[in-house]
Amino acid sequence: MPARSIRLFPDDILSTPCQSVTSFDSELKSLVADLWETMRASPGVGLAAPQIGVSLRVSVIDVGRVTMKRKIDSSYGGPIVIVNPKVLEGDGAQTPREGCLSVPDLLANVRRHQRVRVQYRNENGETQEISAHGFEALALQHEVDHLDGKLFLDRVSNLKTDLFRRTGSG
Amino acid sequence: MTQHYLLWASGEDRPGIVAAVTKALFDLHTNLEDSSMMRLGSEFAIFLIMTSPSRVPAARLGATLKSLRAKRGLIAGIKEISARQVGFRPSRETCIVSVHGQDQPGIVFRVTNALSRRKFNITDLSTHRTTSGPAAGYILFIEGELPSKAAYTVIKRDLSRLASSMKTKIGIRRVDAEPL
Repeated sequence: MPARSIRLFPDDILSTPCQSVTSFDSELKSLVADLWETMRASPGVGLAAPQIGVSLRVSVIDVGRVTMKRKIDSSYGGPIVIVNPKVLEGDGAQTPREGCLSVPDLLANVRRHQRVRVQYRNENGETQEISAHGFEALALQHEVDHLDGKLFLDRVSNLKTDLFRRTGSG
Repeated sequence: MTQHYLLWASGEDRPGIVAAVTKALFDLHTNLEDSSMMRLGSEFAIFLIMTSPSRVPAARLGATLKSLRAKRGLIAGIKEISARQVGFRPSRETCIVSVHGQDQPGIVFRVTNALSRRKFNITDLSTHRTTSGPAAGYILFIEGELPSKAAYTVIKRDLSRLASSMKTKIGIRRVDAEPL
């Protein structure tokens, strides 16, 4: 299955809250396969359905792509598919520099929880829960933001101090 | 008596501009205070406040500007300012207004006009145009002072209406924190 093209800011779909998934059918499995395929063909560690043009609450995350190579403070629950995720609780703070496949020319300092507990369904519709910290917690919060129609641009306050041009851009 | 000056300079970006300008200030025996320096497109722009323990003769200031132009190709100017314009601290509640969406004509004008009508005083503004996607995106951040606490709700409502008519995202939030 070919990787799908990634929607870029200011595409409207990226600022639209996504619909919850109600059918855990073959169409969902096909969407998840496309998300994995597209994410693995890109430099990202997570990808949300709206980023490939589908306004549904589905994301895939695999922070192992980065945490295995670099010494980054992070839990690693393996590759996960999160459907209809809900952040149950979050605590602590981290302000890492964050990138997004849909805003490729910018990086941002975004304040996030250091630890989160997220409830979600897997692609078979089974309810799951994950407790994550560090980079994986950041990835979960970033993906849930996508599903809520938010980009990191919604979480920064100052272009001069919080946003950075990515190397090779502009 | 301490004299305050505002200096601005701009020229094609290349290494050494800041060093050249600050050396000129050093040679004038002035002290660099607040400053904002940035690259805008291919240009580098500088705005700064400098102080001197006594008035700097106009001829020396003129010679400095001439030298910056001749040696570095910088167009520069210096203006004497009053001490009360220095050491800015917000006198009223500060807010951040953020706008992002598809680029369209008049974004900055329409947003700042809406703020101006409510006497919102802008203290910092920056914009960025992204061109990575099929359509250009626009990001605008404004920091400023509310004329009164009550104005927040009114401005928020105005901006919400404007966001609907411009089909873009506009947010406003207070900048506050509990002292520790």
